[in-house]
Amino acid sequence: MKYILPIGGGKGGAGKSFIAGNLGISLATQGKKTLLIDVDLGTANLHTMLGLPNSEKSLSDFTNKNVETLNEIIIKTSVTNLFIISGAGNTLNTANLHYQQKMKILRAIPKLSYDYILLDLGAGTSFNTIDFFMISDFGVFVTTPEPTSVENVYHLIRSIFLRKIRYVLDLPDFNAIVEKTLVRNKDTNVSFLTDLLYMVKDEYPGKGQFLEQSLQSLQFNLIVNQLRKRDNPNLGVMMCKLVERHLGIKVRFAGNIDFDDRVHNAVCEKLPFIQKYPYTKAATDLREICNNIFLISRQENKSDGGVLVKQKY
Amino acid sequence: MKSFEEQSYYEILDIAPHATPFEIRHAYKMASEIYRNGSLVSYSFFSEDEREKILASLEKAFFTLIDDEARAEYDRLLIKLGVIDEESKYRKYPKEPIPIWNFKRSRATMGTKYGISQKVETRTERNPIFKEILEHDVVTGEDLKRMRVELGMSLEQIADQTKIRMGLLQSIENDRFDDLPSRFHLKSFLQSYVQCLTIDAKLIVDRYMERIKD
Repeated sequence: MKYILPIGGGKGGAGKSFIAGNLGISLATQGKKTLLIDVDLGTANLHTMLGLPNSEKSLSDFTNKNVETLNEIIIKTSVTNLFIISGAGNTLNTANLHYQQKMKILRAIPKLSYDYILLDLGAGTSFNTIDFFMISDFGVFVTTPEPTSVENVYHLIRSIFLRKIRYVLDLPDFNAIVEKTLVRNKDTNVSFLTDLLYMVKDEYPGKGQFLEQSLQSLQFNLIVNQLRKRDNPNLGVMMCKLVERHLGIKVRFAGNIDFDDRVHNAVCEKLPFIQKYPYTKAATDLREICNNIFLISRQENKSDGGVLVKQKY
Repeated sequence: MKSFEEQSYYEILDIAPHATPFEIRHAYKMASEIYRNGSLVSYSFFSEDEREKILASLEKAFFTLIDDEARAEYDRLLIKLGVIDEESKYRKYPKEPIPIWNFKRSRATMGTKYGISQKVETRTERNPIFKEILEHDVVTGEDLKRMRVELGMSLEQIADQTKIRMGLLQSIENDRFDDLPSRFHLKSFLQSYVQCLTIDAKLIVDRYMERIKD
């Protein structure tokens, strides 16, 4: 059974690479064959977080057709069961993927045979980030308890919602129905989306049904990182409730991670935090979150991890 | 997923139809925290208009439900529309305060104390075995065991609830009175045990103790 977990979160510095790397280690040490893919091209950091030398093989070799398959660029790490595809490369223009290159990656990922594939996505809500969320029903959002970060996560979630709708319609139909919805929903954030969904279900019942199901089967998780003493530990729970109530998307609160100054030390020494400081609260939080997401995947697993790669664009 | 406008006041505040005024006030307070302008939780989630609409709905919901007359009228309307039914207005059993020394309270055991009483009440009234036992003048340990088995309870469950050692409970069931430190202890443990089995504990306890006249 395979799980593909995109880890995104809008804001830079929220902790996506930190979480991706350490979650990967946590999974690998529990015996799960895990692959980390640094899809944050242009600002790839995962290899640095894990202390791997800037290797020759990277994702750009795949996009530039130096290699045929992703398997050829997979690197072993010093942790058993943990493998990585680095995003770094010597080419300087990898940040801007062509559509074809991106689709190539998207199609290749589900073919890999690993228990867990964690995708470290870049910050922001560019097409590239969102498309990697379309690849599976699972996903992880990382936020910190700051309005900037919260804002970006919500923006990302709304973008994903809109993209899901976009996927089921042809571009002209989509534009037409968006126009209609905008008329009644000027300057709104949420009602525009829910109204749009309603209009799609109304005008295209078959596609609407499919869309509804694909939205219902989403199983996202939210992690609140860098929680300081003054911050509200219930922030994550309330955010998930809000999204579920108003957008109808299930986002599960996976846990808080305490802010720990020592993370800085670990990054500077290029050592994984969970290995260097395994007995800190933050490390415990990480392990617990790993179990939450892990158990959740276990329990709610119905099919093959909900992998979908839409061919039509 | 219903839009805010379509939801009932109870759903908007996320409370049950039988919520008490305390719960209503609490729910409104929590909701205001989340939806107020400047709250971190809902920052950027809504546009200003949407936020104002939601806060207005919350306010309306609160002021209707917190006023007894207005609430009664609203409930009548909901019942008429078939949104809620009569029964959901009443709690199944009154809410009792949880004893503060209940340290081992966890999700798993939270409802058990009161839950068992409820089930027990309905079962004992109509149960033929119980009736038969109550017909005799005395109650033996064997009878207690039969009652317990009839209710589908294990000795472990009773030991867990009453905090009495299983060995002692077994002695009670097997009529081994000497195993217990004193008559007082016996009666006290017996009382706790029987309270798990039935509401009418005093009667059973008296009839059991009848046999120990020394």
